Amino acid sequence: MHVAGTFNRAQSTEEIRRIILSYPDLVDRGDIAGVSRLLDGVRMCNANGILAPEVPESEIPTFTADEVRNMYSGVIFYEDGLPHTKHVITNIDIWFTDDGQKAASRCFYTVLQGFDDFPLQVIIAGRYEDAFTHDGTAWRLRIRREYADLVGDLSRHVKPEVLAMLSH
Amino acid sequence: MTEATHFDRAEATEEIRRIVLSYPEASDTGDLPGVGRFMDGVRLGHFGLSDEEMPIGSADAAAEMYGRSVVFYPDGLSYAKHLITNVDIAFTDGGHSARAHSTYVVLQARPELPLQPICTGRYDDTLSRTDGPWRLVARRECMDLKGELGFHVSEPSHLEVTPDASFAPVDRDTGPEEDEFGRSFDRALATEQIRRIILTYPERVDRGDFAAVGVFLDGVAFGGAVGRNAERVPDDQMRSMTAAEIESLYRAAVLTHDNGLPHTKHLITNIDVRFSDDGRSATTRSYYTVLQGWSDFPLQVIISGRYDDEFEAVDAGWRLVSRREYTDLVGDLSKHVSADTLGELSADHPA
Repeated sequence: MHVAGTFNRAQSTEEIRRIILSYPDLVDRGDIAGVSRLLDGVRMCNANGILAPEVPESEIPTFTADEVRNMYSGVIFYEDGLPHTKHVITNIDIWFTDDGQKAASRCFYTVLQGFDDFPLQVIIAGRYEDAFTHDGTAWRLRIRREYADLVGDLSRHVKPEVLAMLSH
Repeated sequence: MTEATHFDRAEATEEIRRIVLSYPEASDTGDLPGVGRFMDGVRLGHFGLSDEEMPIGSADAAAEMYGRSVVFYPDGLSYAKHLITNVDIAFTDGGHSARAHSTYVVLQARPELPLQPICTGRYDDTLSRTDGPWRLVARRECMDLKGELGFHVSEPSHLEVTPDASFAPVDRDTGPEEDEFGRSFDRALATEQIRRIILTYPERVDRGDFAAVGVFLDGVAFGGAVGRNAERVPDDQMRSMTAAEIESLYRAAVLTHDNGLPHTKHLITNIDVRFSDDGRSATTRSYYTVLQGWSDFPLQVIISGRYDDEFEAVDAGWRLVSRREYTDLVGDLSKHVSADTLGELSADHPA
């Protein structure tokens, strides 16, 4: 039940937080099938730098589940199938339209990684700016803009060809 | 849901968050009786164990075990800081039970150990409520990444990453329908507005927008202290400044590089919002952790501490009235603040 006038702010906050937090849960477990289901049909883009201007919606492509899976071909998964990363999500701010039918959120991500020969450290930190709509039964992630703000040592997280691309 | 039970989802969320956040408060301050109280009557174990496989903790035994396995330094502190993030609370059983998933990141700094994350993992907590307040019933823990634990626990070799563990599946029903908001204030909206104020500061300072920081802190009573065991800054030592004064203070104290950016990122975690009974004022606690890095300075944690804030309801929402800032762990601040400011911080800091 979700109609204007009976909008339950606390429950909607909880459901949207859960969508935001399901991504780290899936990706840190190496569950790329799960990630591709989560991001199937979502419009996504990347930009670098804390002062990067907001990417206009018209310039943001929509990804299919297969395309999402391909995006992760540049990520390193180790023998146990895990990327050995931890995506920490902080500074979550969610706001709603007055009718409770749409929402937008901002949050920070910080990725930690560590191995025996690679001290546990912060490898990248940035922001997600998300847009959600309520489709009558549930909240759906519609747009995700990702901004990389601070970049550390990504050599154990992405393959060399991706690293070379990122450093340009 | 029994007839006498009133379920306010926002209030229940707040209470459960507070329970989850109480563990860092006790452990990081060396409050062993507090750690004991947290674990008293709680089933404790690793991910993947059934309830029956997890022993029920007692306050005395938990405090004793924690005191023995965690390293506390001569001033009684562990110099560890538990950041709690990714908190997801799901209600079940008509609002009588809940599962709280969260991520922990432990930071530590010692003279021999530059400020850094030392381990990170997850908690899977089960909570229930009968007539009284929410109570922690079971805590499952899993360590995902292990760093330098040698300054935090007495037997680091005994601690290993929990093998390939995922959260036990939760039957996340949508929870009960909520009571109508016929009460004095909308707790969910108030929580959202107050969180937004707290999160405004990082947005402004990380962009190097010191004029906006000035506006944010304009007229706010401000006080600072150093150390996890610092006393609360007394009211008569709180000072407020104008926006222009704050802006010039920041321009003098905070270093910016090439493009006018401080190259920092202020992470805010462990946010706990408490309302007065009439819903007209609130106090909050939160942790801040500042990351910094660019091509000449490897991405790292440079400082971590706490904010204790007071808010009052105003016509347009909420207003920050006072902010107490406590510095807990200090890393390499040489690229973040001017030499004068650095001197003030390190003079007070035992590390």
